[in-house]
Amino acid sequence: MRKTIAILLAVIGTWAPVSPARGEPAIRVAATLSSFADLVKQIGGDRVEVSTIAPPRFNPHFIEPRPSDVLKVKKADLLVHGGLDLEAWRGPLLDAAGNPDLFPGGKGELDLSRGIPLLEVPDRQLSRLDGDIHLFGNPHYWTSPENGRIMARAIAGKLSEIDPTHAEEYRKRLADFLTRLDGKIAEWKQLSSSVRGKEVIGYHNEWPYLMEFVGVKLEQFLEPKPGIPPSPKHLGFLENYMKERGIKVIIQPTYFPKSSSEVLARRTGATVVILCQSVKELPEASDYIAFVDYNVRQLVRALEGK
Amino acid sequence: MRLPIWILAFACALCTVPPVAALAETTNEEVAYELKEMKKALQVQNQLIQKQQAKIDELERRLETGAGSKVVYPEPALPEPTGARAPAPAGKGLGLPGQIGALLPEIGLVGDIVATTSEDAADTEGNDRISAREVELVVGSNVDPYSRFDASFAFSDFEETSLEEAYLTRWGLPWDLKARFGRFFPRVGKAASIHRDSLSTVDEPLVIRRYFGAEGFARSGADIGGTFQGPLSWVFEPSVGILEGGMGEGGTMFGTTRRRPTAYGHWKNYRDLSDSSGVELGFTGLIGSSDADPEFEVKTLGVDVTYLNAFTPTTKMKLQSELFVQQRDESFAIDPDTGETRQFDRHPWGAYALAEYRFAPQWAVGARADHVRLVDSAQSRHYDQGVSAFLTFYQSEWARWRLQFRHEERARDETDDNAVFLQGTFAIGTHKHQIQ
Ligand SMILES: [Zn+2]
Repeated sequence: MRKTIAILLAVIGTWAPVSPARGEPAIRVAATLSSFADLVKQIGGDRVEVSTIAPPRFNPHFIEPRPSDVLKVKKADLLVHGGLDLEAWRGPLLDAAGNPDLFPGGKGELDLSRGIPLLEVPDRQLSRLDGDIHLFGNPHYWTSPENGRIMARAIAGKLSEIDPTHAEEYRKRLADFLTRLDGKIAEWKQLSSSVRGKEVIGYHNEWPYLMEFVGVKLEQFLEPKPGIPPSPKHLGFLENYMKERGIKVIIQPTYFPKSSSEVLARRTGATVVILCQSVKELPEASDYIAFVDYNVRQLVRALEGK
Repeated sequence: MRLPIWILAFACALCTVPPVAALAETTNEEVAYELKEMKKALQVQNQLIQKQQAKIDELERRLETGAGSKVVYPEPALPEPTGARAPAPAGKGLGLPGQIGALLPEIGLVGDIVATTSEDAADTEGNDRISAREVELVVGSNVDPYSRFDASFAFSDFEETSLEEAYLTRWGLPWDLKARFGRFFPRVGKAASIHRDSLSTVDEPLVIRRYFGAEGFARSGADIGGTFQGPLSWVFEPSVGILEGGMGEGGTMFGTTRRRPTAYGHWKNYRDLSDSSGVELGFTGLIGSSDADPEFEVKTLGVDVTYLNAFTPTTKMKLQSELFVQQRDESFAIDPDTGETRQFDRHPWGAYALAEYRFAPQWAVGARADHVRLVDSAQSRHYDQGVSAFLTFYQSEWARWRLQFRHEERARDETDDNAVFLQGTFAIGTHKHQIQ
């Protein structure tokens, strides 16, 4: 009998999650997007066990969370999310998980939009005529490395608050990360200096932060309003607009259908360039710095017509 | 006893010293950072001034050359001046400025308008006309940090207004369990437990309509459940509840006596197969009464299987099937004239299978097959069956059109019915999809 119990316990034991440091459980972090998850991993190192909810190859606005995602949130000590109206699915996911620590304002909640200088904050009351997303300003702020710096600091601050005994470790990793990032920021600025002032067309309005960083103009989108699919009439307007101004580049992430962009590109002689909206959306965007690097290089290469 | 306290105090002292030192460093770093940020802001503003000047020059040049006959584009938005940037709002709002919306509940309205042409002789549920089948008003909000209250009211152009749901959800119970109290959709299988506007088809599957009711299965009661990690990456979601007796509109599984309660239990097993596909296997048990006597003579077992795969961000497939088998211990009738006892089917069952494929960002097609054995049926043919095919067009996230053809063979009068539905589903206000 005793032997049976011992075997049973051993079997149950193998199900228990293995923590990196014996006896010192890691902080369990659920990040809504892979870009946030990567930053948390870079700052938290071995002290954090990070899970991602939205797969990077999907549109972050419209995810259908699964029971496994509910479990990730339920078990988490910290939820790192994009705030604003980025993740329309965040509310139902939090309700399903029922982990009060992670509710807005809870001790285990980190809203990365706080402290970000937002772009495109509406100066009038919006309605569904505007497409109903981006109500508080543009929520795709992580695409600019300048905001990466702010996000990394916020993550380090939150981890130190939850786990003060390792605050020094987080501070070191943050300093490390910022040094690397600042070096790259200088490089990217240099690289993009040749394309400043040029204009591109986008699919969804998710690039203003990156465009501001590289100094490229982006004012027209295949979506007539955020979240509203392209219409033939709007494509006609864009065709004229692009020909008029000699715009030769259309940018979009992997998760929108390429057909409309390609039709427009064919009619105007432009190129469709795939940029990553999230870390790991393409193999080249393996971490946050690689992600920005990939986007800047792709954009510059296309605009220089190489 | 004294020794551990000393150790504790020492440990505390150790813990407090480094953060103080760190604080001083952080402040220096902070100042340097702010300085850097200010310099950067200044640079951005200078660039902005240059850009604007260039634009003014360009406009003046155009004015001079009389370029007014060209196509006029909407005035391009100027880049946001740095001063106009706003910090992110704290917490969540609902599109209302500041905190005005903070204390208002979330309010949404879902309109379900159906145009039907049918061979069915009954003049109900909008046959051969356009019908505002259901307009659902959904209201919900957190009550306090531990609970949330949700209610929905159904209005229609042929039925009385009904209270569909009104329940409290309580979190933070032992083992992170969640309890519901009030009127809600119990977790009975898949199709019966969701709002009709979340279905893949215009109508509920036949087995749900016949056993549970035309609009699914909402009952008053209480239940408790939770989400747990099982072995081999399975997610378990067990729940149990006690409900009032009776069924939804037209449901025949239990009787109409609402004081004879129904007990239910559901065990959901879910497993990810990849980052975009998963399989779910659920078991449901129901015990209830078909009449007012103290026996619980009806026992039902349900099994549901669902496979979901989002092949690409814009194409996905859903395969779903549910089976319900009843055990009815008192399924007989005594003929008042002859005194003979007539035994009905003691194990009626019903099932459906559904396949749906979203083949383009805005389009989905699908089909459903239905078969159900009727409860206490004296007809010579005691089953209904049917097939449906449907095409869905997603106009946007909040507006959807669906065309469905349905062929049904009914035991009642041994008639066949062919019907065509055109359904429009429109959502305004807050519209949340509960996680299924
Ligand atoms: Zn967006």
